[in-house]
Amino acid sequence: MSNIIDVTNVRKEYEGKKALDDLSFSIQPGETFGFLGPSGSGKTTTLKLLTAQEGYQSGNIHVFGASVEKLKDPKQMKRIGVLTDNTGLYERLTVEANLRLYCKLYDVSYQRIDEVLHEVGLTGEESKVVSKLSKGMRQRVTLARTILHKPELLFLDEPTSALDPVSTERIHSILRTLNEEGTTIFLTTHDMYEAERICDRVAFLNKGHIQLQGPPRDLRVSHSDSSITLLLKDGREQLVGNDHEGAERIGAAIASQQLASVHSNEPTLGDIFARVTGKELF
Amino acid sequence: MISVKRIQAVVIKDYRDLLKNAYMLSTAVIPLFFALLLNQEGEVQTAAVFMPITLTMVIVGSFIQAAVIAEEKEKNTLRGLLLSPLNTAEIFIGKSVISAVSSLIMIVAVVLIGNIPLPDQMLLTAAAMLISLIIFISIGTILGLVSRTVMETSVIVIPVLFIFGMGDIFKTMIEAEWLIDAMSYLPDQQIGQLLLQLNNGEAVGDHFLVLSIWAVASVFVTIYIYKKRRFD
Ligand SMILES: Nc1ncnc2c1ncn2[C@@H]1O[C@H](COP(=O)(O)OP(=O)(O)O)[C@@H](O)[C@H]1O
Ligand SMILES: [Mg+2]
Repeated sequence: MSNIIDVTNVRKEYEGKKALDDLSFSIQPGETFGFLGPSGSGKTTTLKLLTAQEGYQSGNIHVFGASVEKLKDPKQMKRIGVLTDNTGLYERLTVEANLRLYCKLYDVSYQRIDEVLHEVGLTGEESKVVSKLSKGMRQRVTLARTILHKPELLFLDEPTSALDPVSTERIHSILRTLNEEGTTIFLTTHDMYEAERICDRVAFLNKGHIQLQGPPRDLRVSHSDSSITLLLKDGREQLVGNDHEGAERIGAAIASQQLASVHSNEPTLGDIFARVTGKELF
Repeated sequence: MISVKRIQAVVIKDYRDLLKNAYMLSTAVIPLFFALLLNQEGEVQTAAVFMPITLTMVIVGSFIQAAVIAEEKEKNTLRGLLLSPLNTAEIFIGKSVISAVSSLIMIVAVVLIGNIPLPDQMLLTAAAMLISLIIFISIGTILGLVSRTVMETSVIVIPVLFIFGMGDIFKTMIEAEWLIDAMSYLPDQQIGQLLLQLNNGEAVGDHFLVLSIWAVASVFVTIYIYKKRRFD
């Protein structure tokens, strides 16, 4: 199967200052791909390059099998949806007026408004003025507007940063549904839980360079030291190895009816990031 | 290539937005006070009688235009438009319609309230007004492109208001001949002279020429600045 996004050896500088260096990765149709990195690592820059908002010095970017420049053609532009800090809503207007504008721009019928509002759980809110909405609701309206024209490929720049946990969970569940329905998603985040929960694959970005990429589970397994923690009923913890001796100690704990629970010590994506880059995600 | 439907969508959005925008609405009626203040009682003595018209073009045409463009940047909504099927021409045409129409409405109001005697040659008068609107709306677009916020726009529009809107007042304070000569080529002076000479039945070809040069130049500068400028 051919890739929906192909990036090879891309280098991007801003006035001589390096922002992205030798960037290579690809995304397959139907994937949710996460770009995980701390602030200033080049996540937004990557998204701008992938959506033809900015040029780059060297390397190649292909989207939908053609040079990224082709996205400037309105026909191709209609195949993507982009949500960033810079794709906001008109605050003085109602939810409906905001969505109507984009219905006209993308040539979709107004009936789609009810559909997308249902998809983001905002049925019945269309006559509210945007400035009166909570941050979480606003972000869901923005997302509704972004998927109005049913894009095949969705770009999201830190879609849940600064949202409360309930709103974040809502956005995640919307994104999962979209992905199940076939939308390919490229998302940036500095939240390792977000990456872990909704991404099929993640790339660790540090100072404009990808340090590691793969499915979150594989990364955790390959960076695990294989140790296991036993929690005993008296509250003590025992660290045992994933080996013959460990098996005996677990067996003994069970036999003596002392075992409360068993925990694998897989690192979190945040732990792995810190180990690989020597940096925290925040 | 250019879609009327998409332009219309932008215009409808801007229109709805303007109706909710108390700051813009109250700014748009300021020229009416000038018209009342400078009421002419129907007599033409100098080109200065037409000053309320050029003031309207600056305040409504340039400032509102600048503010709606700056606000798209300030509120982070411009990128959404740029990433939609809208092309650049459609965005700028769409965004100019509201300030152009508001300017025309306010010019009519100012002419009526201020008793400003327009020439009988309606076609030439209308042509002069349209060319002037292109100039002032382009200036507004430039101001909107170079400022990041509506607040910044309200500051940088002030020198423009003095230079391009109130030349007649300054001329009375200036001694240097060469400066007065140079000022006579400014668009507001040209419009004033053009309307005055039309009223007196004199030839106005040279004023049309100068205004047209201003119009073409200001459109080109707008395009140049648009291409240079980053938005986010
Ligand atoms: N327009 C710009 N001009 C100059 N430098 C920029 C510009 N945009 C981003 N940068 C620089 O590029 C680097 C990556 O920024 P960015 O992609 O915004 O990071 P992130 O989104 O991961 O926080 C930073 O060092 C930033 O200062
Ligand atoms: Mg960023």
